[in-house]
Formats: sequence, structure tokens, C-alpha cells
Amino acid sequence: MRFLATSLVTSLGLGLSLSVAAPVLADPLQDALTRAVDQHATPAVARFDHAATALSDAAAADCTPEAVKPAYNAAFDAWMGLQHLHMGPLETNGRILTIAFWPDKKGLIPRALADMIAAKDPVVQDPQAFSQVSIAARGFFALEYMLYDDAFDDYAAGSYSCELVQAITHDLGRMAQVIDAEWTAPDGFADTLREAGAAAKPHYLTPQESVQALYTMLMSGLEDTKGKRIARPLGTFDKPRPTRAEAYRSGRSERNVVLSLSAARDLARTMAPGDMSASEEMFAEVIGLAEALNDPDFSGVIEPMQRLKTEIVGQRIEALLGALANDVGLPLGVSAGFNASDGD
Amino acid sequence: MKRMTTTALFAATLPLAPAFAGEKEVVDTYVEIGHATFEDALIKAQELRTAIDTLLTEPSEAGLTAARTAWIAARVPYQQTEVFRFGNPIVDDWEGKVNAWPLDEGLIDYVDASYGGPTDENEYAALNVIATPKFTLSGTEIDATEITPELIGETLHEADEVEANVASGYHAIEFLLWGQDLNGTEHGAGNRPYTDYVVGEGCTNGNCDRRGHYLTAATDLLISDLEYMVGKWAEGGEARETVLADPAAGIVAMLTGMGSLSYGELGGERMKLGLMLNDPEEEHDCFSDNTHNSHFYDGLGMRNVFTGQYVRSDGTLIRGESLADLLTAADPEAGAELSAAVDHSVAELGQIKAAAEAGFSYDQMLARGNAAGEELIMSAVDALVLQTRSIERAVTVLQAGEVSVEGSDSLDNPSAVFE
Repeated sequence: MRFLATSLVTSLGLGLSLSVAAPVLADPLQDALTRAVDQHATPAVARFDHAATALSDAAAADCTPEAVKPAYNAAFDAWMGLQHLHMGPLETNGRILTIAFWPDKKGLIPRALADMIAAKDPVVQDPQAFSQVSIAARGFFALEYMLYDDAFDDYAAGSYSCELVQAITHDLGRMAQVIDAEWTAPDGFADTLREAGAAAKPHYLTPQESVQALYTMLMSGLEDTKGKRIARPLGTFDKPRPTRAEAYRSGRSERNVVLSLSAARDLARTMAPGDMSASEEMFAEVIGLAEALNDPDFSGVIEPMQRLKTEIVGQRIEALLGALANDVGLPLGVSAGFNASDGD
Repeated sequence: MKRMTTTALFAATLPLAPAFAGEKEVVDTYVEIGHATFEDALIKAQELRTAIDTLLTEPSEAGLTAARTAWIAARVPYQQTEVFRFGNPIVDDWEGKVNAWPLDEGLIDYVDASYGGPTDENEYAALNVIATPKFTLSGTEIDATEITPELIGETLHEADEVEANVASGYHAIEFLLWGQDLNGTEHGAGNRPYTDYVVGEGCTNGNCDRRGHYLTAATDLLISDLEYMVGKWAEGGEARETVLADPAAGIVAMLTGMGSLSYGELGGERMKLGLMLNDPEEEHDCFSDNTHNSHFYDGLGMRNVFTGQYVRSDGTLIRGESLADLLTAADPEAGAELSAAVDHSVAELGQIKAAAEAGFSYDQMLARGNAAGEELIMSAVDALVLQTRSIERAVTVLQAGEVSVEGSDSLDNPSAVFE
């Protein structure tokens, strides 16, 4: 825990932003905000809506694992462009937790699915009722068990498991559509962010607060990737934990790291008011290192060399956080706020 | 479940920081409340120990009830200390020993068949130390013939580096007093018979002597852990001196403690996640069904720190210059907003407590489709989230002119990146 001295520029930036909604000549804060919402967040919301709807349609047409997997992976890819934005419609009703309940430290997912299958719980036939089911039986990680885990993936069209898969995918599609609608509606969350204190439904009092919220998502998203996606499978040197890797059953562990880094880069680019070449270099380096792991499910962490390479990706993310603080946080005059992982 | 992520930090005092009148007095109040609250937790843990002695000397229904009552009373001050956790690394690093949760209780004692066995994450989830004097743990032979605080604290707790292997602290003791709550999302707590502690004839579920030893050792360990923390907040103690040495940083510690507890921990991990899983095991005090109180006293603890007053377990009032005063002096609007937010969240948590005490228990609130329970819990979560935003505003007001960002090797020492 070390801290950088603030600059005069920063103090000035804060001072200005405290005078509520005073339009300033060139307003890097408002520019960053508009770009981040319009060029990063809103397109990601739309992509996830399309991909999750396509997944729902694919499973409705053919629920068997091999038929669903391509759409599953496409939707998960789209989710990785959005999953760091713990705000607004993504947080409403705990949607982020529902869409991606991970890590499942107590093995609740297989237990919940097995219970439903054993009981042939009729809740799968009622989308409204299914939206009240435990999040352990919903979202990408429940679906991953159904499609990829030997204990669940041997089911036929017309079986209860088939209906369950259709219920989970339909539920995902429904949530993606609601997020999109609530995000883009007139006076929706995009406006709430962009217009800050002047919004019809204000949540952030000043553009600075909106920018701080987005900056918090940028930083905490990267910390999650380092602290969970990388650190969990690493375990300790004596005892690596490959089965704690995210989405290892579908072999997406490495891919999710790469995609989360790419999404962070995209967000940083929209926010940075000026030169971010130091951050760009580090993004390029760390994404390159992650891709070079060639270890889709992170099972390689049991080998000391591979474990070290994976660990280095985490270290580079840590370094990247510092570069981003300099290139994004400092010139915009914001520091990160509280985030959802604080309690872990 | 231990550590705050570094993005939550606003910290650090810098030469440029504006000095607010009263910062020193405010942190004086803070450390006084910290010391008193931890000391109350210790006193109540000692009373719990006495009740457990009575239970074990002459096991009876009344003795078990008295021990359970003492445990619930002990939680009242302890939960009010949780606001000191995230802002003070010395507390956060220690907390896992005394309040780790959720646990794979099969590590400690017998469990119902529905519990299952070892899991992907935890091969010792069903070890049952009380029934197993000798076993192998991560390749090492363990002699658990004698159950001591050292065995619990140093060998069993977080055994095999699994967080769910909670062998010590309040929740281990809670399990030993109540047993598993097998009522699902129906009303009712754990129902361990007092005969689980009858040594010799009449002993139920086996190994009653070892169970008693475990209960005693775990409680002794809790007491010694609390003694350690009381010392850290006493005159000359490290936690106290760290805060007093740098009042501006102390103010940030206060706000960080409130914000991280409100949002990530209580509102998120403990309340929202449990509700969304519809899982009664995700109750914070799942064996005793005391979760409504644990949440409420977390909220009250935050209010204590903000308003600069704490009512001790013996009724004594501690009161001094407060964070509320400081914030209001700097920005009346921000002060009023956070005051209202803190009162509101305490009121919302109070509604959960009121409903639970009237018979609508927290595990019932978690049931799938229970609209009233969902409304109660989510209203409190929303209040905590709202409170977090007001805390962030307070940080901005009180730290205006200084922006702290996370340090990193790349900035502090550019060459380190390439080493």
C-alpha cells in the first residue's frame, strides 16, 4: 500500500468538479464520461443482449450440449466485455451474481442442479418462477455444468435436463434484454451516468462521481482478474488448485483472462484524457503473456514453470494498475471507490 | 473473506492535505470506542466460557440454553467491532481467526448424511476431528488425541489452505452449541441435544468427552484472540497508536471501514448473495438463527463510529467528538446526507431484526419466492449501497485536495517491473 503524491493539476480538477455542473471550457471529465458510456459500455450491453438472445434461441431449437456450446461460448465472450461494470441495471436484482455465480466455494451449483433434476422441479416450465430460483442453478456456471460436466452432460432432447438447459438459457437471454432496455431507455442508466446531477434519474451528483464509478470498475475489474481468475488456480507453490480456475470445465479460464484484460483496455482508452502509452505498452505485454500461456483451462499450473508464467501475468496486472492510475485516474482527478469485492 | 482489495483505499496523508479542526479529537473518540467494543467482546466471551464450564460440569438442557444465551450476548459487542476491520489492517489480518465463515462444519464434528463428503474444494470437509484422534492432513500425520487451542488455531484452522475449514472462532463454537440447522428455509435453528456433552453413559452421537474438550479449547482460543486485540487498542497498543499518529489517515480508516463493511461485506457477501442463493447455510449465524442480530449490530457499529458514541454492554455511554461533526463542519449537506443514510440503514436492519424476533426467521426470508423476506433483505441491502455512495462523498469532502492512488512497483520503482 503505497500512495502517490498528488499534483497541482489534480487538486485543481477536484476543486472544479466540486462546483456542481459548472460547464468548463474543455471538459476532459465530461468527454471521458461520454466516450466511456457511448463507445465502451453501451455497445458492450448491446453485444451481450444479442449473444444471450442467440444462446436462448439456439437452446430452444436444440438443447443438446454439442448444439448449445458454440452459442454458449459466444455469449460468454460477450459477457466478458461487460462483466466488470458493477453498476445500474447490471447490479439491479443482483443480475451480475446471477449471470456469473463464481467462485462457487461450497459446491452449491452441482448440488442445486442435482436436486432439481432428481425432483424434476416443474419450475423450469415457468420463466417467471425460474427467475426466483437460487442463482446456483442459473447463469453461465450452472449452464457450464450441464454442457460440460460428465455428471450432467449426458442428456437427450426432451429430457428434464434438456428443459433445464432451455430454462437457464432463456433466463440469461431475458436478463440480457432487460439490462439492455434499462441501459438504453430514455432516461435510462446511460443517461444517468452521462448526465450525472442533471439526469432525470440522478444517481451520481456530478460528472466526477460518474467518472469515479467507471474508474472504480476499471480498477476493480483488473483486480478481480488478478485476485480471482489468476490467483485462485495458482493456490500455493506446494499446492496449486487447477479446479479453482474460472470456467475450467469449458476450457475458458485463459480466454476469460484475455477477454477481461481486453475489455479493461477498451474502457481505459475511452477514459484516458491524454497520452496513455505507458498503459498501452503494459496492456500489450500482459495480454501477450496471457495468450502465450497456451493453457486454456489452467490445468498447467501444477507444473512449476507454467505456474510461474501464470503468476507473472498476475504481477503484470498489478503493475498495470499503477500505470492506469497515472494515465487515467490522476489526470481525471479521481481515485477508486468501494467495490463489490471488498468483503472477500 | 479477509482482506479488502486495494481499490478501496483512499488513504494516506500528504503534506498538501488540508487539516480539519477536530480531526485529532475525532480519532480520539474512535480509538476509545474501538477499545471499549473489543473489551466488551472479551468480557462477553469470558462469560460464555463460564456458561460452557457449567454445561460441561453438569450437562443439562438448562445449561445448554444458558450457554447459547451467552453466545448470543457475546455476538452483540463483537459485531459492533466489525466496522473496525477494513480500515485497520491489524484487525483485518486477525479477523479470520475469530469470525471466519461460512464453514464446512463436518471438519469438526458429526453431520447429517445430507451434508455429503469431501468436495472439489475441500477434501477435509467431512473429516470430523472430534471422532478422529489421528489423521493425515496434507500429507502430515496429525495427533489430535488432545484437543488444545494450539491444535485448533495452528493445525486445523484453514487446514489444507481451505477457507471453509473453519476450526476456530464464534461460528465453530456456535456449531458446537447448536449443531446443524436441518430445517432448511423453515423456521427453526440447530437442535443439538445437551446429551452430546454427557460423558460416559447417556452420551449421544459419540465422543462426548472430546466434543467438550473441543468446545472448551475453541472458547479459550477465542478469549486469547480477543485479549490480543483488546491490547492492540489499549494505551500504547499498535492499532490505537497507528490511528493516533496520523489523524487524517485515521479519518480515512474510519470511512474505509464503514464503506467496505457496508458494500462488499455486509450488503454483498453476507446479505445479497445469501438471498440470491436461497441457501440457509449462507446465513451468517446459520446454526443459531441469530443472523438478524449479527447484521443489525454490524449496522449499529457503523453508526457508533459515525456518531462518536457507543453504549457499552454494561450500559455506560462513551461519547466524543464525531466524524459526523467533522463532516458537517466541512460540508453540512454531505453531513446531513450521511447521517440520514446511516440512520436509514440501521432502521432497515432493525426491521429484519424485528420480524425475526417476532418469529419470521432469517432463513425463512431466504426461501425461494418469499416476497416479504426478499423485500426486507433487499431494502436493507439498498440502504447499505446508498450509504456507501454517501461515504464516498464524505471521503471526497474530507480528503479534497489529495488523491491517493494505488502504489505499484512500476511507479514507485520503474525498474522493478523488468526485474
